[in-house]
Amino acid sequence: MPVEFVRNYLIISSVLFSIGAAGFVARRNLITMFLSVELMLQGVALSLVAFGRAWGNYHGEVFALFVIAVAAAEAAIALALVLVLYRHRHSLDVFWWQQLREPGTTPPVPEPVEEAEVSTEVHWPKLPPAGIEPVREKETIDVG
Amino acid sequence: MSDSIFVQYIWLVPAVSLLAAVITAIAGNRWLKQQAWLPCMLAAAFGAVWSALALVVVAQADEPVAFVPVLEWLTVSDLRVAYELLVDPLSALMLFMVTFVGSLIVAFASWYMAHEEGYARFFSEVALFLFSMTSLVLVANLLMLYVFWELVGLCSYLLIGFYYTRPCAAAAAKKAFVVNRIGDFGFALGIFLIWVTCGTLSYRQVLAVDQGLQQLTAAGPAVLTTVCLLLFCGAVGKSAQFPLHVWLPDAMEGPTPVSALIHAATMVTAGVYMVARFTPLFAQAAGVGTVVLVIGCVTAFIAAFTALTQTDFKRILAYSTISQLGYMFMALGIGTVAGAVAAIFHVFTHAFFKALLFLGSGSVMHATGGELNVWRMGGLRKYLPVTHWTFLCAALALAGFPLLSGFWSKDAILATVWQASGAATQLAGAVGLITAALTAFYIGRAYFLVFWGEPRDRAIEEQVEHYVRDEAHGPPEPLIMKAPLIVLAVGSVLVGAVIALAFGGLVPFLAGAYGVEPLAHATAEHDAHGHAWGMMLLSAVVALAGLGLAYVFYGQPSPWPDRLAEQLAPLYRISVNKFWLDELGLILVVRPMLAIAAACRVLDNVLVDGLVHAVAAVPAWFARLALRPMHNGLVPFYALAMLLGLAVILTLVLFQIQGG
Amino acid sequence: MVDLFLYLTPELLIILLASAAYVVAAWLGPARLWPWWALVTLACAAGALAVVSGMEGPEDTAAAAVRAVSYDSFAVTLRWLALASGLAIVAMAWYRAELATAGEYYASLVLLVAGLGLVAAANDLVLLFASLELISIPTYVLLYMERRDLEAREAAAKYFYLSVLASALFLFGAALAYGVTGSTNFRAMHELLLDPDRLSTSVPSLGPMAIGLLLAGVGFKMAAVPFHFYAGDVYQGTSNVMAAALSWFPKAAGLVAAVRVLVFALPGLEREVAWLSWVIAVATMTLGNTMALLQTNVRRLMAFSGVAHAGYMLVGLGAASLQAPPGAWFRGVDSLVLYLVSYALMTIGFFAVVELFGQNPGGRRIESIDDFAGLGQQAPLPAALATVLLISLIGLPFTLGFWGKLSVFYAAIATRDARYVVLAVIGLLNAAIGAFYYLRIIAYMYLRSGYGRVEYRAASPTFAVVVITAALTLLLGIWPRPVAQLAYRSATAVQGAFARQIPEHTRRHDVRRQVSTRPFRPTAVQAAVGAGHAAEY
Repeated sequence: MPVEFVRNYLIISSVLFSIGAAGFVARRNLITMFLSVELMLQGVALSLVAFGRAWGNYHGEVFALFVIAVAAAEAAIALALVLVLYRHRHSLDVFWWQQLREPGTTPPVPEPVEEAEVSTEVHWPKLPPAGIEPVREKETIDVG
Repeated sequence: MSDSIFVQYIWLVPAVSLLAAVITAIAGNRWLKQQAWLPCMLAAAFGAVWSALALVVVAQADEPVAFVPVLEWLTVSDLRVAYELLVDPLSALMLFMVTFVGSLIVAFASWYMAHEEGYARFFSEVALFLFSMTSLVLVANLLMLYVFWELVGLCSYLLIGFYYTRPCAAAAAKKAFVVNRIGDFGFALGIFLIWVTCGTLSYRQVLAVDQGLQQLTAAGPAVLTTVCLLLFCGAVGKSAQFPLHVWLPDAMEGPTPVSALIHAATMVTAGVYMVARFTPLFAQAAGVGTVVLVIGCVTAFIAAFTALTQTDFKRILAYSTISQLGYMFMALGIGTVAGAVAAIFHVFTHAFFKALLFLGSGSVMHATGGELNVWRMGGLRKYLPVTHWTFLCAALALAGFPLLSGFWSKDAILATVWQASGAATQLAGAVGLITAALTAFYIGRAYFLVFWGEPRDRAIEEQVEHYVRDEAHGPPEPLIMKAPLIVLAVGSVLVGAVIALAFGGLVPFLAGAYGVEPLAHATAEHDAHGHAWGMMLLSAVVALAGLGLAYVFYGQPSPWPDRLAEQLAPLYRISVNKFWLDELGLILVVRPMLAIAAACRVLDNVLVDGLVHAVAAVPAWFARLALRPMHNGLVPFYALAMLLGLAVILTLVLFQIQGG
Repeated sequence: MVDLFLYLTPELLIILLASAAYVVAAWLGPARLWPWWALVTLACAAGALAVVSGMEGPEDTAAAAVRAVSYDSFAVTLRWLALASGLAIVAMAWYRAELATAGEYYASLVLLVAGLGLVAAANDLVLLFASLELISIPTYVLLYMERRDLEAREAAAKYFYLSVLASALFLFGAALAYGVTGSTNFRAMHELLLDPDRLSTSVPSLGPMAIGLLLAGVGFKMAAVPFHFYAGDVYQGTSNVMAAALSWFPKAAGLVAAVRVLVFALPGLEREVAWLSWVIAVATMTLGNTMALLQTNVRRLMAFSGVAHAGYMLVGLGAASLQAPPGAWFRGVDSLVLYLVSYALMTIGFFAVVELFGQNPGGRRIESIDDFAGLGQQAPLPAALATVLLISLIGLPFTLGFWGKLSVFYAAIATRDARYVVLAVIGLLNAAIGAFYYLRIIAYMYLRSGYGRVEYRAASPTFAVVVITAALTLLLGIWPRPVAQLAYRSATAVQGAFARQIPEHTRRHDVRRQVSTRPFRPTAVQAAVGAGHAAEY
């Protein structure tokens, strides 16, 4: 396999992978972090396809398809999880989740300052004018 | 022969004993209570019957050696450690002896140990011992031999310390254990040396003339000699030979049935069995035979001489056991198959009469309320008739009274020693004869002091009278206790004669264990000499003289003992003080060891403890300081650490940074 | 093709039944039948496995090189182990039927078994990746369902995020491995890499990079340093059952994947594998044991203990990649199988003990190691069984844990590589440190007086797990022949499939130079996987 066939693809995929890794470490937003991982996976998929092209067989393409499928499954889980986490804190900040750690250590970054009052009221989206807003007052969501 | 079920399933004998030990240990105290002896009894009886049948099968077989694979313990590629059993005349005879005598002693113990604390514990440990001992004689592998060698040692330790609340019993148990360790250390080294030289520990290969034996011989004469000396070292410890015999007299702190079973009939003969088993090696090793002979000779004489003046009933018997074991090693020291056969013959007969002597002493102890000083007893023959008559049989057998079992086997040893060439053996034969006279004298002394004359102590007499009349204990000599005594007495009287006269000695039977050629050789030798009539006559005379002298001295009140003790004061003091061997050991070994131990203790407290604390403290300190802060619970931090770790890994492989 | 599906029947059956359960559970909700359903599913899978375990793959290398599964006894052994451990976990989780999501819960649990079975059978990077994800994704769900408090949420989130990151690392490594060899099939990769040009004419660093990334990926599953960070937090934040599942299924899957890919699929890169395993093993053992010294929370302690055990396994992995000369008693892979069996027994058994005391609402739960105090008097039998398991975790003789450690360290020494001899010594030192915190638990049980009320259900499946694991640990420790033989047979099978053509005496000096002097033969494989010709541009 002459290197020239894949060099550029590999560079791009490595760049994608690295950007994703950097994003995962640097970003605090749970959704952005997950998207960073997706970026890494796409970088991998790109290199897989490139290698497949270079070798002249379909192993790479098949692998890439699997990667995409699994990524989709993980995205489903991620969304459910992020939703639950959001319900607890009303924030997507990952720094909210550092209670489990070695006893006696202080995290290098302090927890976000708790807002004065965490509202548990449900803010329903505005409905189009034709619809009638359902009557739901002072309902709380079970945060279980 | 190996297709016979009695050989194929010979493993049932140890297995059933193990089962009995487990059952008694689990159910003994809670459910079996006074029936706790039953599992052990059944196991021993089963073993006796099964091994008797196996013995018959072996005796009738043309090729009397069979290896019985039972369990593969561990198999990994080339390494194979198996629990494999070897059934041949030697192991079959030993197995029969252990289980037969064992079952009789267990029956006796069921009476003797009744009303003791820890009744179930006793029988559980005895069953464990039977398992270990039967396995010891059956296994076909040195590693397994070592395992069971240690297991019987453990059982011995547990049973000597049976009355663990008594300080002297605990001390005796510890002494037995520690002294045995010295021998076992050498034994283990010997096994390692065989492993290093031959690459195998199976008897099949080690004893094969064209394999292990050849490798050991080829490795140089020093190697074979060292191996045999180290193995013998193990035997010296286990079979209480000079200078490691000091533990056996103290071992009498255990219950009397234990003394009979472990410290007279079976376990202490394990060393004899082991040397007999490895006779093909010992025969080739230059100089080792002489060492064995000298040690045996010295032990036999010293022990017999010490026994002359002891006052403790069981200790007299213990010294007698040591002395008889010395005889066996004298025979083994000849280094021929005939010698080994003579030794095993003596092991076999000795098991009967020595077990009987101990059981008799147990009966006496019960009657006198635990009194052991022979000078306070006397005249017991009218209170305990069965004990008296059976004890007499055993005593005569031990003394070598003509035609009783001890006579035949001791004669076989003395004849073998005498007929072997060399000045050392001639001297040994002479010492053997002198020792035979001493034996007859000291056992006659014990017998007459205990059973004849009038009671010497008022308190003891009252105790015995009370014991005989008081029906609360049950009769003084119930059937369960009489039966073993009588069976053993019959054995003590007849076994030797039956073997020597009806079967023409053990040589034709036992030499089969060593292969065809040694068999032919030994048989030829045996036939050439026939019975050494001269030696027989001589030893009979010596035995009768010893007994007669004992009667004159102790049969009735006599001034002779005291007068003689005065006349021969130095000799008397040597005997009473047991050659000061315990004191010598104290000064030469124990005191320096204690001093070293004290020094080590200081070292241990300062250095080793410091190290141990450091092992615990330094990593914890390191973790608290350096590692703990890393686990701070932040996902981005964890991810960063993972990626940095990955970077390190990739750096290591990409830049070819390789350790080593 | 049909026989491939036939061969995978046990796992496919589990997946099918689990999918059905996911659907049905939406209507059924909590019901007593779910644990029974899990039991029946695993029993069906066991029956199927009993039928298919004798199947044999194609003899021909070229034919085997296009199979997605391998038919060796290594795979079969681990699939049985997966089933047995799955059974134990289901028994531990017997009282979760009252969960609102009981159906999904048990379905996810049995999917772990299918995942590990597929990992064991996989002969292809694609299938391996998919099956690793089949373990990971149900684990996320389980972590979410198990406890409904903040800690559990946090644990689930941490595991999820770090796990997908590790998946990406593994995938990149897999992609590079494919790039170097031209196939995703292990047999084909192995045969193709014997071509002297594959490693040298492609970008020369791709191979080592692939090794590093793959090791990072499986390192996360095994909780090896520096990919272990999640372990302590996640174990602490979840239940005992999930901690047991987490400490077994991903770890075993990671190790098995490492054996398949790193030890066998990529010849010519042994030095990298051995060296990286060495470094990671030292770090992992040391960190795991020292951190465990500090812990008081029992699940957190077991998490770091699991990290330490991952280190011991890495010792065996490195030894396996170096391959001790023939005649050695343990040569790496067999020691790993032995270690896995012992580890499964003792770790699942110990978590079962911890779980046992939480099942009755009245009795005291075990959260901190202080809660072990006095168990020796208050609950003698479970305490005795726990002691057996702890002794096995220490690695003292007459337990299976001893043979596991012995075989791993023996394999390390048998490589006759100076580094690995040193590694064995470091491992022994670590075992000494490790003894400290296990012994502390035993000491708490027997030397401290207890408090409160201790209750446990002696007739519960959880207790059965404790009894069986402890008994097996002890019995197989006294008589290890069955396990040792099983391990030996599995290792021989997997080694036979990847028979090495490299002569013994040249292998250890410079692998790459030797590779280039060997004649290139695998043309049939090349033709079969079509990885010979670069596409024309």
